Amino acid sequence: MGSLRPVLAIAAKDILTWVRTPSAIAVSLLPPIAFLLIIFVAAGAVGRNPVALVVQDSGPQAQRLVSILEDSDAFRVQRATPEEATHLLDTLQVAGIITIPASFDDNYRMHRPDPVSVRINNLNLDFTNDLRRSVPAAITGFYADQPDTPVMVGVAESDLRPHDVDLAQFELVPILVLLLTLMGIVNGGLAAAREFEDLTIKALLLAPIGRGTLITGKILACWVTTMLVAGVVLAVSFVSGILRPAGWYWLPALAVIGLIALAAAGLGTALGGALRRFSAVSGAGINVAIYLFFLSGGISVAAFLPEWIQTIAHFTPTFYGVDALEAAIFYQSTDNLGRDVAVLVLTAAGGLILGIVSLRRRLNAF
Amino acid sequence: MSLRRNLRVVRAVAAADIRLTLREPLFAIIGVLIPINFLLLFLLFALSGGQAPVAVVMNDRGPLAEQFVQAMNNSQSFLIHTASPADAEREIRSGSIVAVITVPQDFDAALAAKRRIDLPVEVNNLNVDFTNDIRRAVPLSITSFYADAFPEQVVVTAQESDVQAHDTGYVPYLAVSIVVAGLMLASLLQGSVNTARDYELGTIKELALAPVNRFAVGVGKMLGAAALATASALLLLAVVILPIGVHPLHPLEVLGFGLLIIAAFLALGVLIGTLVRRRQQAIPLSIAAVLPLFFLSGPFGPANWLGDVPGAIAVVSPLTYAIAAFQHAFHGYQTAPQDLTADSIVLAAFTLVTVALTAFVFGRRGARH
Repeated sequence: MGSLRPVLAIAAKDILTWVRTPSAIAVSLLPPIAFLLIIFVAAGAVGRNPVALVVQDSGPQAQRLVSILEDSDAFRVQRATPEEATHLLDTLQVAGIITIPASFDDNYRMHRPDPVSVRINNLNLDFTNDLRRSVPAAITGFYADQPDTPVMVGVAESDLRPHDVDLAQFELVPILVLLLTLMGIVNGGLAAAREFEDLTIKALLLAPIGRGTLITGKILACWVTTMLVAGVVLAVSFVSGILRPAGWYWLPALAVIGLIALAAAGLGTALGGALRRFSAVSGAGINVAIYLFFLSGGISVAAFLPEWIQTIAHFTPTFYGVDALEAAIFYQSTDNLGRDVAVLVLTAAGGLILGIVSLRRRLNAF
Repeated sequence: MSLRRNLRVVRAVAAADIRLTLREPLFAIIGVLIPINFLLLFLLFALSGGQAPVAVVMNDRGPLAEQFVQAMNNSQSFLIHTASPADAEREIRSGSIVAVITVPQDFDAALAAKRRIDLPVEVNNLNVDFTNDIRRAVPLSITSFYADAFPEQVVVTAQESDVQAHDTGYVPYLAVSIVVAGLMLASLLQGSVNTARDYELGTIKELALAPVNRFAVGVGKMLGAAALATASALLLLAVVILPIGVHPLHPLEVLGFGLLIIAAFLALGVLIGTLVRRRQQAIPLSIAAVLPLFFLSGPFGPANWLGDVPGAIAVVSPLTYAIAAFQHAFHGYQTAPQDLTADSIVLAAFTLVTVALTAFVFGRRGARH
């Protein structure tokens, strides 16, 4: 009880300092806000390429294909004459030109080869492959709608999870983890570095408290601020319905958030003790947090990455944090929960030990 | 005041700034390496590509079944490997694949008899984006398979012709865009941190009181910051040219546009440093400014292809013109609706405006310190 008051006093001091330091708040909040903005802009636009559509046949089959192309969620179609289409392609207003030839219906009726021509501005494979896939996909739709379709192979889909999750919603979980790691690493680091840079560490060392009390207070302050910000984010997400764990899945979600915050606070304190300079800590902390973000599937899914990166990702603790949060929030699943929580507990313990050892060594040497 | 004396002032101020920066070697190294980190991290995104890893369970090894798997391979949608049902189930549950596609035992026989047959497709429906890719790609493979195996039945096909002589991979394309972001970040960081440091250490007072031309002081400070920004830029270019293997078709354009970008964003960095006066604020502001601006300036392709809103935002971002100019310098083609002349005019005008604005603000606030 005797050492609890100084721990709380040091924690309260650090929290107040954080609240009064807009730059520290900016370091933690700006990158996640930037990624959030990017995800929402990108999610609305992914995969829909603008194309010019030249229709030279007014027959019923040609019109049916036109209707499929215009309704497709793979294109934004603009009807044009051949000259207009060429101009649109030359000035990069469209990514390609799809031309349905004058002989389309005749060839189709006569079972003759009936090509639809596609001219693509193949400036990079991402857009180009989208178009290469999308036009045959429209042709697939064309045949699927025919009463006498020759295609006898169908698809019987079954899903692993109870429902699909929207892309923007899905990306919010890695961004929440980025926020937690940035808050913990950068703020924990800055709180420690600030004491050395402003020389206030001298006053703290002269105070009649143990070094363990000092370190515990600093880590506690960082953990509390991280959890406060996470609490605000979760409350806003819950009210808006974006992130809403069902029933008892709140518990693993909160436990995982608490563990990530604790690990990050420990690592941040270690970084602050090691570097002791505000500029170095903020530069290194942001870098570390963004690396962790990308390797935990920040703007992709680990399974889509090359195998060697997947191997590295499996050694990244935030990978397990993202996995556990996605399972709890989106799929109401406990698959891998034990493994994920075990990794996070070990990481939190490791982070705390690192933080304590680093700061204790620095204090002893001061 | 003679030109010679002004040049001495420029040299002295630049040298002092470089020395001060090198006194904090850790931050100097981090500052140079941060843009490289950007390059590596965003390339991770590019490496993921658009191909979904799937397992195919082959319960039929007939020629038509094999031809169907070949059609899936050619669809540019999947990374395929065959697996036993148990292995495939284990892989999809562990999250290492996105779908299991099972070719049924009587696949060949059903097609020969013109009997309808359904392919069981188990999807790891993590999110709508990946799930819809699979939902589109499997039917697409089926039609492509029919067009090859039964050309008299499926006669409608896509006949492609390309505008560019050859395809450009996603990594070489994105790497060039990231170089521009790296140049911006390096310049903003060095400019803002060097200036803020002068306010923190109080050296700005000495500079303001010195009987020298203030413009020469400003130029010297920009050159000092430019030294480290240029080191970072050279490192970035070396990574893009050597390990990634993207060689510029027009090296002089790389040099010219690179210098313009560095000058413009160095000036902006000095402006940020002058306004916030604290490195604590200058560093996060510089890093955070790059991320949204980069993503909204068409790094993946023409921004207007993503829709009207992204296109309109990109028009007012100077980075859009810088990315388009660099893509031209490396790959030799236009990647934005405006041409290279427009890119050059916008970048030159932006550089002039930022330098003038920074000189104006630096002169007024520096004098008031």
